[in-house]
Amino acid sequence: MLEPLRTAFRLVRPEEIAIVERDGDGQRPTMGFFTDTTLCIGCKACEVACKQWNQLPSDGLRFTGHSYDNTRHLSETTWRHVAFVEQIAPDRSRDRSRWLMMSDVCKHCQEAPCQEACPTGAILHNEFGDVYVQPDICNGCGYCIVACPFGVLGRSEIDGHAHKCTLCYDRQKGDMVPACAKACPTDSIQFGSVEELRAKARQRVEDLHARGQTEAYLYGADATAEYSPLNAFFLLTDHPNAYNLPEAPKKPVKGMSARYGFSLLAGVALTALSAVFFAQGGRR
Amino acid sequence: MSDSTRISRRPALEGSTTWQPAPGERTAHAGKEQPAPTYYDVPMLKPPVWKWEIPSYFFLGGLSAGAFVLSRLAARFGKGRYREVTQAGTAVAAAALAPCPLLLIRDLGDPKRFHFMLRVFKPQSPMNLGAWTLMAYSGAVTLAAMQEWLLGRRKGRARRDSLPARVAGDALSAATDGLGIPVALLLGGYTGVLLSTTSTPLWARNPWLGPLFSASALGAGAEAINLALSAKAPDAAREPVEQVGQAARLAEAVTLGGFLASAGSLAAPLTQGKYAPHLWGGAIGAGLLLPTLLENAPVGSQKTRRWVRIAGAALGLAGGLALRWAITQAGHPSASDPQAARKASRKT
Amino acid sequence: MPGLGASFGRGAATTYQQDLANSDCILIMGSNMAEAHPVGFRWPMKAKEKGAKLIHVDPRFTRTSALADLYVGIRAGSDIAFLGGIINYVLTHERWFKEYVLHYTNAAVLIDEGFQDTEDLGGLFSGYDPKTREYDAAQGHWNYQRPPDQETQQDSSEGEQGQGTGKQQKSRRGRKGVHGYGLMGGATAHLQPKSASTEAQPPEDPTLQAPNCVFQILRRHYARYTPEKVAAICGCTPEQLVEVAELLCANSGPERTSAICYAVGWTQHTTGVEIIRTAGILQLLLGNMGRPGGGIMALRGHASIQGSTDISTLYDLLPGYLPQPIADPNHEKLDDYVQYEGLSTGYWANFRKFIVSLLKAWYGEAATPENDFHFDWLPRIDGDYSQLPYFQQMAQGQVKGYFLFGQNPGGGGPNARLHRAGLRNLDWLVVLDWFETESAVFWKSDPTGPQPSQIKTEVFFLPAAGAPEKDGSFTNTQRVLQWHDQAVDPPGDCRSDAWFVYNLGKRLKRLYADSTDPKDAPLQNLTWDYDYDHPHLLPDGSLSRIEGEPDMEKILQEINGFNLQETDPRTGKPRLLSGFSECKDDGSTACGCWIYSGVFPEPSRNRARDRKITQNPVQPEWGYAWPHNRRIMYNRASADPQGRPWSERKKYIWWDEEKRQWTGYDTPDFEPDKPPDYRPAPDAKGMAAIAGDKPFIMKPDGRGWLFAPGGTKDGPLPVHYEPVESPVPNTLYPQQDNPTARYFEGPLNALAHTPESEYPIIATTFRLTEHYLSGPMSRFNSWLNELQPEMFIEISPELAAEKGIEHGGWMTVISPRGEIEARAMVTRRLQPLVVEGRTIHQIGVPFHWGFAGETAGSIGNDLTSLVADPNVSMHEAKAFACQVRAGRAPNQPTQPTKPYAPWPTREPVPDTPPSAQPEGQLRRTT
Ligand SMILES: Nc1nc2c(c(=O)[nH]1)N[C@H]1C(S)=C(S)[C@@H](COP(=O)(O)OP(=O)(O)OC[C@H]3O[C@@H](n4cnc5c(=O)[nH]c(N)nc54)[C@H](O)[C@@H]3O)O[C@H]1N2
Ligand SMILES: Nc1nc2c(c(=O)[nH]1)N[C@H]1C(S)=C(S)[C@@H](COP(=O)(O)OP(=O)(O)OC[C@H]3O[C@@H](n4cnc5c(=O)[nH]c(N)nc54)[C@H](O)[C@@H]3O)O[C@H]1N2
Ligand code: SF4
Ligand code: SF4
Ligand code: SF4
Ligand code: SF4
Ligand code: SF4
Ligand SMILES: [Mo]
Repeated sequence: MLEPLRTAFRLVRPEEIAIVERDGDGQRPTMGFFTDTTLCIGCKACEVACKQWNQLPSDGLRFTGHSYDNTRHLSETTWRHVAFVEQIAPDRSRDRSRWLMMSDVCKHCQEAPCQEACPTGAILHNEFGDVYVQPDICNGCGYCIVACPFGVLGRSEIDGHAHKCTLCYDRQKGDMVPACAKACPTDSIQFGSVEELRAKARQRVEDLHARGQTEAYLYGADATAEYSPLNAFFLLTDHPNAYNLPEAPKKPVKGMSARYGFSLLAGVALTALSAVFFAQGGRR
Repeated sequence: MSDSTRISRRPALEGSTTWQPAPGERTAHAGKEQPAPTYYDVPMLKPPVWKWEIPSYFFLGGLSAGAFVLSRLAARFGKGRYREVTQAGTAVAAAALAPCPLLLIRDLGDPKRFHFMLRVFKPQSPMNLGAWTLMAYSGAVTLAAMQEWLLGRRKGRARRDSLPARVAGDALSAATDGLGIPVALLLGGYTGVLLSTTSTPLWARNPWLGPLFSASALGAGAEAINLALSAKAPDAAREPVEQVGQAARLAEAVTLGGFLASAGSLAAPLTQGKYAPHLWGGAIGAGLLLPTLLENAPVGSQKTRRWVRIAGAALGLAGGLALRWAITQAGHPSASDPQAARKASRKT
Repeated sequence: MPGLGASFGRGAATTYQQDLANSDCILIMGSNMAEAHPVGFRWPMKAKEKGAKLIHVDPRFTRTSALADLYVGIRAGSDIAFLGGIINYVLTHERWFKEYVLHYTNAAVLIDEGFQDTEDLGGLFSGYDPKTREYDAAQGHWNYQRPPDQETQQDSSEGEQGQGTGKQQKSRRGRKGVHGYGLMGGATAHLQPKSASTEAQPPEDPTLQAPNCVFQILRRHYARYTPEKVAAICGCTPEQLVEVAELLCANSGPERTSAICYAVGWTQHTTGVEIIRTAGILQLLLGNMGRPGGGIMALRGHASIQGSTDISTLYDLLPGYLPQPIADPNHEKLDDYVQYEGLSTGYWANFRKFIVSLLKAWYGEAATPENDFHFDWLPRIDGDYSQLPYFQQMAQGQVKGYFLFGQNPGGGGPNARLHRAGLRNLDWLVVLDWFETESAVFWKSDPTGPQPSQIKTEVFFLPAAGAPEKDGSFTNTQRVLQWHDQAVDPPGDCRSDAWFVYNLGKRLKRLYADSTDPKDAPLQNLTWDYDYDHPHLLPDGSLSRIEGEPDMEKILQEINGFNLQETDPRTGKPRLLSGFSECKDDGSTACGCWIYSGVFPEPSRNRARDRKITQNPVQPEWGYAWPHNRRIMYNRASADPQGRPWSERKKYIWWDEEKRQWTGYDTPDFEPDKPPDYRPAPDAKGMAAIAGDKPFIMKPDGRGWLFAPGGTKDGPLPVHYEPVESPVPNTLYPQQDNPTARYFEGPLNALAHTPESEYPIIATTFRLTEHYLSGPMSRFNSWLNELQPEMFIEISPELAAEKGIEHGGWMTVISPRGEIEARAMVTRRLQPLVVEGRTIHQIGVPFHWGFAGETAGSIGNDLTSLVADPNVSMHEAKAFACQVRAGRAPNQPTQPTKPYAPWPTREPVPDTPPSAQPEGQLRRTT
């Protein structure tokens, strides 16, 4: 009887919202994903494995006509999503025809807008350096949803909380590979320490270039002028937009204090003016 | 999901037909003035889950804050000339504040957890800061109300206050103003900052949203007081309030211009389409132009004068609501438009 | 699989999927490997990482094509032309592997002078009888030339794999369809000894110059398959053909190997067996057989479908590919049977040991040398009981009752409408399944069927146990037996298939226990005791709830075999055999399936259970591969004639001179101590007749068969024939389609004989990764349904525009059998082909939908037809004629029989605190 009340009203312990030292702290490396789209065969085993492990509901039966993609995007109930992009020239010429497949997932941003936005501290970087939504703390305010520059999060109609890929926090705690990576038959999804994955990925890009696949490049492996590195990064062969990814994700909080400044400035200015008006008794 | 569930009639082969040899570059399409390729028009971002409660809260919270600030200024600088303004202002502030927490709670996915926002102090989250601000501000309003109540009791008593009583009174009002006014100003403006600290193309990092909301907060406060006075004490002195209203309108016009300008084509969902009437007709027409016209309307008789005032104030308030409504709601189509998201996230 | 049998000796994948990682070039043709074998496709991908070239030849651009280095789009049903073109290229450009071909194939062997090729007879071989639409191999002189001394007029030798036509008419060679599948590959009629058509040491011309040597016949036969001609037939370009040929040649030889993967894109044709034969010839010419990274990977589909041909659920086979005896004087006595079905040379010389050991396993004590081991108790075949003719008879009301174990012919069978008509004409039907499939609810939910009141069939539905709910083994596509233990008891009344059969058998035995009627003797004497000796425990140590479950390991032991004369001190029971080499023909051994012998060599050693990862890349301790744990078959060919590895890079099995034996990474598929230079005496018999440089030991001459003397039923060499329903004329030969194909025409099974203007479009059927076969195993699961929620048809924008069909809109497909509707998936992955100057359109039809389950959709198989290839009665679901139009079709499935359930399984995980329950299980938390 009392217990729920106590948990409800106790103050949050700092570590519950602490941002665990990333990369820096020696003992535990940041874990993440390297998703190599050149190895993806679009089997969607990752999508199903995720739903099954996490017991997520199906999103309903809807034929979209979007090539073989009928789940369309990441959502509160779809934490892995495989995109299909048919690029076949009208003349079917080999060098201008291909079928891209890409398994999308939460990027687990090293500096995560969703985490920064969360007012309850439900979102944190866990001990594996991954961005995790604590369903028992989330109150469903929905702010993270508009904060995420990748449109990853959604709020569940069922429990009213925000949900997204946990990077299989529970499995990692049990020293298990995330369900999606485990299910991937071609190692398109590679799980491991982000450091090592980055090295691997760079090598992979070099190899592909050497083989003439010069369009291959890494997305999110390194920090951009605007944005932190992603702990779940990708190897792509087309413009990010082709996969429905932002070309250059931006940090919502950038310039926030300035914006506070402007709004206070406006407020203070008008206040001062009002003070004058009242002092003068409205004489013109 | 909120975006359309119909089958896209575009053949799969049109999903994305650009070939991108050099990654990172703009797409061949975007180069020419054609839309960049989308992924079957599937939104790249998630639209807000917020419904009518949030814009309503933005409006009422701002209105309350504005009214509070003016009522306090009237008391402090008005040399006793504007007792009615202070009384009305305090009443309006309290009345407008009352539903705010309810609106916020109702909007949550898990309403019984509203207070979870208050289990942490996390100023880097505008929503968290906002929650605390709202708490502090409620405190200020309570203090103000207390003073009004005390003053009310003292009324009519001939004998002057004892020194300690006076000291206490001054201290109380000093506290109310010193704490209340800054907090109120924050409350009036943080909502704009909250919106601008998102990835929704219409709002994302737009520096004008904060000032715009601040200005319209004070404006709404002024109009509300005006209205209240017109109803309760038609003959009370209130010129400064009207002047503030005018000044706020001016500021609002400027900042709104700035907002639209810096949003550029990303403001389309606001300036065109579903929410255009709210903006042009509501926020600008009713909120800015008409009140200005009415004020300068050459009307003779006291009686008509009074009604014109009432009309002006009412329109002003409606405009304030329309502004918040339009800007907040237009975030949905903005986020759901893959082209806008692409534009917003383009390398610059 | 006789395509492989006829070429190499055993009708199974010659290699294993992991070995594909060692290939330098992989031709995937007739399979959509990435979608239908996603896990296996890991290995081609690994090869690609190492720089190997992946080629996909397919009518549709699929997820496999997307990952391939080279994709060639061809017309469905034109594979023999394409492969023939490659063979021609290899021969004309002298790119064949000389030493390999000379020693390991029958290229040099001289064929009987009387043989006439399709060149001379307008697309027919000698020996064709238009009346019976069958070949007589003996009349056609397909056989090896005999040494002058023993010239004897040889008689009929037709392929034994087929089941004859459904028409059941009499013929000189006895009733058709009664010639069992029999020994893999070798081919003679049951009416005279099998060994008749071949010789262990036939006359040869090592110079390969003699006009009647196999090599020259082959040259002439494929001379007309020029790149230009082939391109015109297949709808590709000559350059594409040459590029594929070049890649294969460049990646074959001593230093490099290429592999070929196929599946039902090849088999489901009236020429299916011959397509596979063509691949066999190509791989022999390039010297890729029996070598790492080489071989032919038959991607078999259904879990344990390989097992079901090994232990044989086929009507005409006994376990281990021994032919079911037929109602025929030559099969009266065991000796006749052995004489006619066995071979005098090669491994099949052990034939008698295997059949006798089988009879001992089945009839135990009752089977004695005196009573011929009761060979007379084996049922005799008197007709064709393969699926297609059988269901046709059912539809004609000739079948009363039927057991349906894990099959859904009502949706998965070709011309499913006819199959459902068959089910409707039964008196009773028992369906043992996981789900209420089309075949279980046809009587009430089939929108194309009559009112339930009009259907007399009484349907009994018995819930089946799932794989984790029972012990047993799977034999996968690469012949590996893998055991699975029961993890939990099946829920409610669900029971394993074994439980059902075992207890049914027990009741029948009880029923006939004291019958004196001799015809009941086989049942009375059948060995049938598989009860657990010890309590049946589950892995967690708890006692199983299920009573009467048979001990599956006992059954595996019977399959492995016993020596009945020695008792094992550890068990006090007969000693388990260590392998089939221990089988005897004197009744002292019992063996339920000789090829599996060795899987259970000791009481507590079930090798199907092995899961050891070792240093050896072949991983011989993971599961158990038949025969005798050989992972790559015919691996003697991985060494040169002198027994040395062809190259360091492709080292696998070699002759160790010191130890005087064959060694290497794998179990040698050869007599371990037979030196490379061994040469048989002229009159040698059995294995002694196989020289030390002849790797194909199942063949009477130890050679790989470029030219198949016994032949398959449709000829000793593959010929390009058009599909039975083809809008295109055969421009290579006057003979349009396979002259030996079998038809079952009738009101329910109309055919559009070709070329057909009414049905100008070619349809092919295919699978999606997201669904499984006719759908029961996927369409009851919303996690899979959401991925492919609706029946659709793949169609090119060109055809769509022509017919006014809108992407995502409805379209209707009409074939002579019926019409179905589906969403149009308009995509450039399909392309119009220019065939002989004409533009030909193809559409792709998945066959995963039906009216049962969570998503309802039209049944692709309502379009397909009942026609049969002469060897294995395979249908032609991969190429048939149709017409398309925009809009919907009448009475199609719309109402799913199961309501949509977002969570296929949602019970909280037992004994687990809420905090540790699956993430996002999305229960309201408080
Ligand atoms: N996800 C999934 N996996 C499965 C199954 C399933 O239902 N779903 N079924 C399993 C079973 S039982 C089997 S047998 C296998 C079958 O495995 P596959 O044979 O690979 O599956 P299909 O898609 O039927 O056919 C393969 C390809 O053959 C092509 N094709 C059609 N006609 C021709 C032709 O004339 N020539 C050539 N070269 N290609 C042609 C089709 O376009 C298709 O892409 O898959 C097994 N695996
Ligand atoms: N048009 C066209 N038709 C085709 C094909 C094609 O390519 N095109 N492919 C053909 C091929 S290759 C095949 S293999 C066939 C497959 O056709 P089917 O053999 O009919 O295969 P399924 O439709 O999967 O039906 C198998 C049934 O077995 C049930 N089942 C699964 N496990 C068990 C078990 O342990 N016990 C019992 N009792 N039941 C079980 C499943 O629930 C399912 O209902 O389809 C053929 N039909
Ligand atoms: S991708 Fe979005 S949800 Fe995922 S961590 Fe980054 S901001 Fe958060
Ligand atoms: S919805 Fe939940 S997780 Fe997202 S910001 Fe609000 S409280 Fe945090
Ligand atoms: S890591 Fe786990 S939660 Fe995230 S997508 Fe993979 S399976 Fe789903
Ligand atoms: S499991 Fe791997 S290969 Fe399959 S879709 Fe997911 S990422 Fe691609
Ligand atoms: S379903 Fe089974 S057999 Fe088919 S690919 Fe997956 S694991 Fe292999
Ligand atoms: Mo199959």
